Amino acid sequence: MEMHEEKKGDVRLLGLSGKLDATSSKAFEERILAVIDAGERQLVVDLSQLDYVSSAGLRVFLLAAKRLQSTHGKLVLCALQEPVREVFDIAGFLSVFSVYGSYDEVVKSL
Amino acid sequence: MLRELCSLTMSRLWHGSMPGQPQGEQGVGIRLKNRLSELEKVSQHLYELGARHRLSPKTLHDLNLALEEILTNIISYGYTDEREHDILIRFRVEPQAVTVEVEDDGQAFNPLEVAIPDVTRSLEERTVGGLGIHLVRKLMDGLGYTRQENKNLLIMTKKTEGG
Repeated sequence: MEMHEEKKGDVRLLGLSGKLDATSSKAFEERILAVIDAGERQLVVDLSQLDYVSSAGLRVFLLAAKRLQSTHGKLVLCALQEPVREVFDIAGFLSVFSVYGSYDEVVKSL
Repeated sequence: MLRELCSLTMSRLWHGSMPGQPQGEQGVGIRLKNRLSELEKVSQHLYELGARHRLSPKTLHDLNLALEEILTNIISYGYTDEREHDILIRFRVEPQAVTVEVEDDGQAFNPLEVAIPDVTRSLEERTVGGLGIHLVRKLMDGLGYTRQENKNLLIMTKKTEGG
């Protein structure tokens, strides 16, 4: 799994690529929580390049969303590809997260 | 009948016959230690098997995810001691389906008895407990469990697409 980050105005964009599994989710957890703890309030995670997520990865999204909620921030996910979308769907995560088709759609909504 | 038992340059296991398998059939499986770092080996083995049998990306993805969830559970919660344990995995590819058997000597754990998480709850109420097993149940077409002596035997079946 690889991560890239960009700061776009008030938004922090985190891009994930590869596999978010039991092994790699630890690094993602540390990074995203560090970003939130540093004061970021609007976090967009771009999943266009992510091709695998397991429950270990889902756990991190939940953790991050809860922490952001307590600081009145927001976590937005965009560009979920199959089969990642299906895993989010089965987990019921598509209804608890703000999910957009693409980063452009996120920008339009802000 | 079995089309082929997977054959890689792995240690030969399963010298006895397994439940549900005809006497005399001998498969080749992989043997893991109870460490998360071993998961990559399973994935690699599965994808090599998939390439030889032209399994679809979707079939492989679902099997890979189910294996990660099951193995992570066993490795993280299955053992009460600090010792090294073996986990045995065997794949069987048939024209219509792939069957994966996972055997471990950890505490008795029947994934069929895990409570189904309420996936309709709000963000505040959500936890990830049971989510891994929920994914396994949804993505596999069959799931069977038996406890034999001091071992857990889990059998997962995934229908192959267009197979």
